[in-house]
Amino acid sequence: MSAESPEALLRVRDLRVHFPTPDGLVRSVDGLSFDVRPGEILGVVGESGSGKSMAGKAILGLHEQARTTGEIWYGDQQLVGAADEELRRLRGAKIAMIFQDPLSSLHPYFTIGAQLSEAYRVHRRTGAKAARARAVEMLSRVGIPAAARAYGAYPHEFSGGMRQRAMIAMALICDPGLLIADEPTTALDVTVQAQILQLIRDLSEESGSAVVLITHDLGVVAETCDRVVVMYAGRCIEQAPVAGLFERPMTPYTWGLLGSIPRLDATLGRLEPITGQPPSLIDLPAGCSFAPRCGFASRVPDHRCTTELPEPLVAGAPDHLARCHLPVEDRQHIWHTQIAPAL
Amino acid sequence: MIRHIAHRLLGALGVLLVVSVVTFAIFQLLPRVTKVDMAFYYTGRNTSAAQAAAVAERFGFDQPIWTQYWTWLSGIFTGRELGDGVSTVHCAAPCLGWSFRQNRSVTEMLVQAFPVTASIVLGAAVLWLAGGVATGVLAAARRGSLFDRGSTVISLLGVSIPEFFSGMLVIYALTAGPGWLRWYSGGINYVPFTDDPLRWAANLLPVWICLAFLIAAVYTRWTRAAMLETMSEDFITTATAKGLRRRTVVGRHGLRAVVPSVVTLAGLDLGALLGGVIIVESLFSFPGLGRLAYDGITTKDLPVIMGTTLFAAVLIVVANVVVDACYAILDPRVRHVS
Repeated sequence: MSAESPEALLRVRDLRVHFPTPDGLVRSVDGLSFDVRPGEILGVVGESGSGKSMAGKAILGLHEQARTTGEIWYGDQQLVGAADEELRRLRGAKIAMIFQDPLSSLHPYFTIGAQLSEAYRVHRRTGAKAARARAVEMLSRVGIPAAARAYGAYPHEFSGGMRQRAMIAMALICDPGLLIADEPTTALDVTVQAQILQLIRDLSEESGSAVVLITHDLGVVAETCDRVVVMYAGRCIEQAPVAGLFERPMTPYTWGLLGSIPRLDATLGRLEPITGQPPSLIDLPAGCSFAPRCGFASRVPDHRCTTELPEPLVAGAPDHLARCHLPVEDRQHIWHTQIAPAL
Repeated sequence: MIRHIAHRLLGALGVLLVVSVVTFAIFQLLPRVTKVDMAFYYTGRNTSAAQAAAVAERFGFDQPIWTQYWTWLSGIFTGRELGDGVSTVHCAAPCLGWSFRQNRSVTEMLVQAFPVTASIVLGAAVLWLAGGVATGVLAAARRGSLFDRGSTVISLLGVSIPEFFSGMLVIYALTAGPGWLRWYSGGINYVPFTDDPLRWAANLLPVWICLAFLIAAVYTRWTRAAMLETMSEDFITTATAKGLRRRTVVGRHGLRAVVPSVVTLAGLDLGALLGGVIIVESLFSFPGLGRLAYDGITTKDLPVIMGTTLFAAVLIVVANVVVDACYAILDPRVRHVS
């Protein structure tokens, strides 16, 4: 699903990441499409197991056991099925990635500086001295004090926030066009989370790098992103500019997500969880994957919700796409009369 | 760091003291060995009981055990005068006792035997470390490949074929086998390195291969498992995501993470083996510590048994301290904590 944008930096079309297991084929990502435009911050939200991290790793070809099909275009380069060497040249140089836990993601036995310089030298033909200077420059750019001394430190000597800053410095050391940030703040203290998000936003603006921010936290999306892709069971169920999604969400799933966020200004005491469990990725339901948990499926005639997969269609605004069989007017009505007032 | 090492050394001394007590006690308290029996070991069975008793008295076998222990222990530091009734010999420090079977100081025997064992073990260690670790890394990097499965089968053979069997095959093939294999028709004999380095190496080679094959198998399986675990670590994903070549990811980031545990394993194995490789040394008739201990046991040469046991214990304790120090050098997290 995608609003047509010919200038897109990254185009993902009908991406499928399937893992053969003894219990059957796990369809972690099953027909995902979205675009990333240059310089924008795109949020990808979803519950655990919605396939958001799997999709992020698939872009860089980091799955070894998976069957990845579909199309991933970076400019005019097709990444699905690309040669190992072609992908390797792209990793870190054009598309970089940072991960959830910066402690386990940094090598415990190499200094921060060595790990940064290595990332630079593998793509740029420079001597050790130039790489070192670049690494120190990046460390101070991400706000690490006494960067020259931090260069020789080991990861365990840093705090969690500092480690994630170092990871970001390492990811951006070759000026990539795209940064994939996989839950970059989940393992951090709340006070540090905001700093790291601010840093990612600042650096993206400064360098013009686009960011795909994978998160389960709609609050992070609201604060940081320009557009958002909502994933459910390996597919994009709704995508829109951030303002549009929060003002007029167009799928019952997104309503459920919004209803389960705690709010400081809420007058009502109880949060509304989404009932039921996400579907098994081995045995996805026919039709809309959210239908078994959806309180509105019965309003659609002919059991279409459980038999027919809804296509991503424009809903409300031209750049707002949603997969839902309910007529757009009904959804707008339900949102304004039932859902929004209760939030 | 220095405090840490001092602390460890002090602990090691304590352990050695306990080991010396236990070693001494075990051989003194053997229920079927009487004091007079002990004297017989020195004088021979033909001696009359009265003569044996006299010898026992001279050796101090009739004194309380703790006095005997103290004499033995202080002998290690100051040396002792020992007599067999006919003459008196001076056993210089470190005196671990006197073998009257061979009429030599045990220390001297250990000093003579140790280079043989060290030649066998250190040479074999080079082979098993290089072979075992390299095979393990490659097998893990190409998991499920023909190489991986082949190395699994071969290392399974290595683990399950005892060295006295493979060793006999090697000896037979090289000394009495078909003509094209009979490279050692003159037999495989230990030649000291200082006499002829080339013949030293040539004669040790079959021993090295025999011992290394057995141990390399363990290192292959172990390195493979450790590498597979490491390759699923997050920092390996990071290394790949940086755009590093597969060779660098496996050979630098993966292998580096496995090094401390391989060094630990190797250090402890070296410590244990340097104390004597009984089966291999006996098989090839190399006069090392293992052979010395074996001969000591079969001839009931008590001071030799105690000497080799204590020496082997010292090596294991030293190996533990060295491994600890290596760990602190190899793992920056340990380095900084200590």
